[in-house]
Amino acid sequence: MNDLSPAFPRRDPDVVMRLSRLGSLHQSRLSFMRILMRRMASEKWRFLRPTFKIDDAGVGYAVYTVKTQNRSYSLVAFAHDLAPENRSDRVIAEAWDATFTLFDGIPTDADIERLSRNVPFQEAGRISEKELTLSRANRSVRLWEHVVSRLANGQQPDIEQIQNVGYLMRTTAVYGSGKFGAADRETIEDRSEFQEPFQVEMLTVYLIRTFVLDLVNHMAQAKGQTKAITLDRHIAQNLGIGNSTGLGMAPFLINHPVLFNNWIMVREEAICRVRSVSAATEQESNAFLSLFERSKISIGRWSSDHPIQKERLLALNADVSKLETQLRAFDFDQSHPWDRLLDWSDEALSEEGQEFLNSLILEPYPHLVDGLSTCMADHFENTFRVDGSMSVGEAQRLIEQSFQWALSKDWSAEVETARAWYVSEEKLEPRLGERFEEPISEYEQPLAPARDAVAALDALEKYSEDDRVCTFLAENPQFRHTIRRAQMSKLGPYTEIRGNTIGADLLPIDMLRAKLSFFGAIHFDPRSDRWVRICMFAGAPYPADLTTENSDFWIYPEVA
Amino acid sequence: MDLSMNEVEAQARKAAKGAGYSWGEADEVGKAVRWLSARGLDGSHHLALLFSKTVTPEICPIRFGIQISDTATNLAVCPARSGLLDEPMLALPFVAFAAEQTQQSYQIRTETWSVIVDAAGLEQIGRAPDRVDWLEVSVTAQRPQPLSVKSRAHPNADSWATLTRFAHLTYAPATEESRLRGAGAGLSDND
Repeated sequence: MNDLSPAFPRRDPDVVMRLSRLGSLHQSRLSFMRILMRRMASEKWRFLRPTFKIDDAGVGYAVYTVKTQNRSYSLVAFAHDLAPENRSDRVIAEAWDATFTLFDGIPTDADIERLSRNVPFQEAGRISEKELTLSRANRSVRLWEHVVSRLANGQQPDIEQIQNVGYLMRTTAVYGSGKFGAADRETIEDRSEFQEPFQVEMLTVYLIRTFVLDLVNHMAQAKGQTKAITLDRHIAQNLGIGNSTGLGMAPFLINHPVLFNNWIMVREEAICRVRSVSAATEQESNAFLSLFERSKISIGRWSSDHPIQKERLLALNADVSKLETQLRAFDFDQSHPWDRLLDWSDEALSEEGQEFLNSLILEPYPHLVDGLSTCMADHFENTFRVDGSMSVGEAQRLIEQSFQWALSKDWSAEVETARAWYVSEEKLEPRLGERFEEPISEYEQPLAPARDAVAALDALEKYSEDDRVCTFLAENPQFRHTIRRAQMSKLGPYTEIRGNTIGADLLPIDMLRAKLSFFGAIHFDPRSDRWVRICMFAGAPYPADLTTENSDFWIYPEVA
Repeated sequence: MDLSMNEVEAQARKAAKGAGYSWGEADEVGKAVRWLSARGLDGSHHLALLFSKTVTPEICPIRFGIQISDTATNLAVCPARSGLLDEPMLALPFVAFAAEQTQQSYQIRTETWSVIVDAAGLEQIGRAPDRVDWLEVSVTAQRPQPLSVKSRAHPNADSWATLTRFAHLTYAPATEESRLRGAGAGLSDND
């Protein structure tokens, strides 16, 4: 019997919350996609396709309904005929190959009619309280054409091409939480199926993947008629949904400190629990070793042309070799084997390898790990109030606790404040600019907690430790957000990133990856320092094949 | 208009920043307008009216409200009183925030308008005026009827347009350079 109270402390936030480490995080069994897959299987959700009205040119709409224990949700998918010159993954695009919404229930004809006038226009349209998400996707042109023409000719597509791309369509945004008129998260967060974060968004993407498979088969059929065949189930299962994510996601981690803390805290707690396992059973060590073999296949398929990721992948591959050697001689019968393995990795592996291993050791322990997922949501942020009665001394201590590392920086040096986050007038999306080269300073968003914390500490110096922060705030309203954050940091140790979010060396992709790893994304492929492509649900069983047996480890490719 | 609470909060927050409040204060404004909207009161309308006037800090209901919320524990022993105040409705959510923190019920009194408010409900007598000469907040033993929370807001188009105008002041004008560089694009998407 394993004791649930860990014998080891959680890792220090000064280690975990560094940007380079956040930018090295890997999916785990606590990732939102995997939580959804397990729930759908264990609760026996039923999937239907009541409507598929798409013509031979690929234009029309389809409805996919999922029935949970108590409710129904429907993906309404619109397929469009998009000219290549209009295909852009960027958020400034105005047309897409396909557009989607997740409807709360089963839509009537009137709902479909209303949605058809809005969903295809995305940000320029409006959705209502009956809709939970708004999304769109573009084809991978090279793979889409290859697959359609092969299937139309009665042949399966080339496996290498499938593996090189990994998806037939990639989403370029999945909006939820009240955006563009959709239902607020608060109106659905009491539903058990949406207790964990981003379950609505993940369900949307999962259903999109099913639609994309149906659409590619439909298009091949339309083209090849009697000659056409359908895509092989095994090949189809290896296809995920791509996703192209830009800067919009990065500020999220700063704007939701408690939520982000909860994600990190839960993963760190899970790592501690497994570290604290005094003896691993043979079944547990075998499960780990088998998934390690399967991970190697996935890592082998991960490629990127971006110099930074190329370097990280080299390091990861070297780490995998070292780990393989280490595991060959590793004694799983010794006491606290996982702790020993992690201790070794701290010295031997890069951050990529360490975080890969931290996620992988959780796999054999669903009974220690999975229950933690209910702690990943945040129910406090909306009702959090600044406590004006807190003493200046305590506020100072809280700030110092999170930002000790920032105190030694020279914040007057241009290199430390070279960047500024702003929102562009054109698309109302977050952007990152060069503070000393562009006229953006006066539009700066409050996304530099470290710089502001150091400035607030300086201002707090003029007050007595026993003064109350309400006095300080009345005279220094410009530091209100800093005091708010400092007080929120009492709710958990991982609220603040330990890195400069406006420095010249900032890589926004580190922030994107941290968030996307919690979604369960793999194969991160940065296209620049602020834009990343990923793959979601590759390997996942489609609705018709989903069982409790295959709902857990699908993300690790089977060894041939 | 049919808006989500998220949209109302985000818009009010940006508008407040555009109107010259700090980001931290703007956060509070967003939450305050959301609180009003969730209780069927047109927070966007009152905020738009406030921003359409010249408001000095002394007569600002937001500054007064924040002070009430920040000194919530004081209210139990010492009522708070304002002088001249514009759009006093905007001070109401902050009294509710104080009520949440102290688990007390408060009475807001002005010459023609009074409200009993706690964390779960509110009861008004009279209509909130555009401006009051004074406003007093004190602890009361009375409890208001609990109020069911609304999930949508329906501000009128004019007030929303005013807030949009102020929110717009927080956006940086686009330049060709920012278009390319700021979002980090440049590679083909037709692959």
